[in-house]
Amino acid sequence: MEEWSNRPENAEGRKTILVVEDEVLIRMTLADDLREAGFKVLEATNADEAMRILRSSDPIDLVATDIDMPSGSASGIELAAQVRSQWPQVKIMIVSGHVATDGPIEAADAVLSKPDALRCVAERARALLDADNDEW
Amino acid sequence: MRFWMQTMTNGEELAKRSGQMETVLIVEDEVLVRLAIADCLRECGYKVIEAATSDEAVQVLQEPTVKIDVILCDVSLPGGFDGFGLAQWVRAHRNGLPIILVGSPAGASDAAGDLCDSGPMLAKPYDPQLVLDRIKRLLAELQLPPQSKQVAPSAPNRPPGRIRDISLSGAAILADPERAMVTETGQTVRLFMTEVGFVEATVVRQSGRIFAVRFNLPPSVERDLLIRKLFTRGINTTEIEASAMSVTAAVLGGIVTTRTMKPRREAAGMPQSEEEKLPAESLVMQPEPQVKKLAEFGAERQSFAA
Repeated sequence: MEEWSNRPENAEGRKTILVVEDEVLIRMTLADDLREAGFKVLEATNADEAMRILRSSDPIDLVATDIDMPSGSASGIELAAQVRSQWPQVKIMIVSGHVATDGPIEAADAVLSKPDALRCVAERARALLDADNDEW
Repeated sequence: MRFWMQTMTNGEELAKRSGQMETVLIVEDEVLVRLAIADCLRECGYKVIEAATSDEAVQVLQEPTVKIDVILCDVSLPGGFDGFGLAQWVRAHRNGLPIILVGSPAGASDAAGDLCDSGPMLAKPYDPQLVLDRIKRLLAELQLPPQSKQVAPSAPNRPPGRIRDISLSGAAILADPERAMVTETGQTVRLFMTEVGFVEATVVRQSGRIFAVRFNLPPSVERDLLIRKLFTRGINTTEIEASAMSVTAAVLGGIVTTRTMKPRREAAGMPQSEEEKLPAESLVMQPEPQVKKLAEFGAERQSFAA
């Protein structure tokens, strides 16, 4: 069991991650993993909901998004581009079943493929956000 | 899609994630509203699963390894069902799982009462304290042994009736399992009331949709506390009688709003609760048609008390 003192903290206490995923059980699972790792997690079902959260809630540190989300007006790739353009400080992680291997996607800081993402999403998120802290 | 989803979220893993925390499934399509109420419930120690549509909710509910203790559901929903439809689905497929409907469409309150065993519909915008109170009460009721949830005695050839709710947002609803807004004189039920605890209530008189209900006081409860609680919920005990051992109150078989009852309470010289000290607009909990409906009951209620 992880020591509480090792959990990710910032001035507010926790880093905030926005999970964008249209499959409810996967969203629930990813969000649970990240919460158990000590992050504050917000959930959106598509890119439109994600943009509403980004515009209205407390600062988001990382967006973890699926690619194909037909219930919204934009894909995860398009969402990533918008986030990178409007909130350049926000880290972006693509989590998709359509990515064969972890590889570069423009505007994404990390790419995880499903189903492996479930096992390492918290670890990768922490690595990204720790790197963010080091930069500052 | 389904295949790798099952790979990712196999049963054992989902079961482990459900854990021992009491779990609330929130079904709400407005993302910022869902976010706010989910945050509030998580801070209060509940595990929260978020669904944006009724289809997502059904998907979660059909997953046998995901433990859900109570559902909090908006009435207006996208997907295959609205909130009422989802309540019917839950009744058919997960009977016994409490569902709290939230919303304020005109004329919907009675329908919500008929569909839900968990009490009158809560009004939007969400009042976190009301939501928490309702969830706590429902979860407490789930802990009761089965016999304490039964009603006795019942009339011959008729399913037992019961008083559904007396703790929130309005007067008690008296209803039998066939959803008719009636009950039998002589029926006794056991109610859970916040701060008061469990109270036995017996219907002693009935006239149309107005009932006289005698609340027997538990030894540890002061009569004034019970009267105050009843009054807060829109039940005027002064119309009937109160003794050292029991309180008999007139109960309207419908939903009465906090806003509607405020003038009656002030007129009676009762102290204002914290809720009533809020600005008036925050007390608007029901659409206009509900207020008119209450007015229709006024004359009947007065003649009954007399």
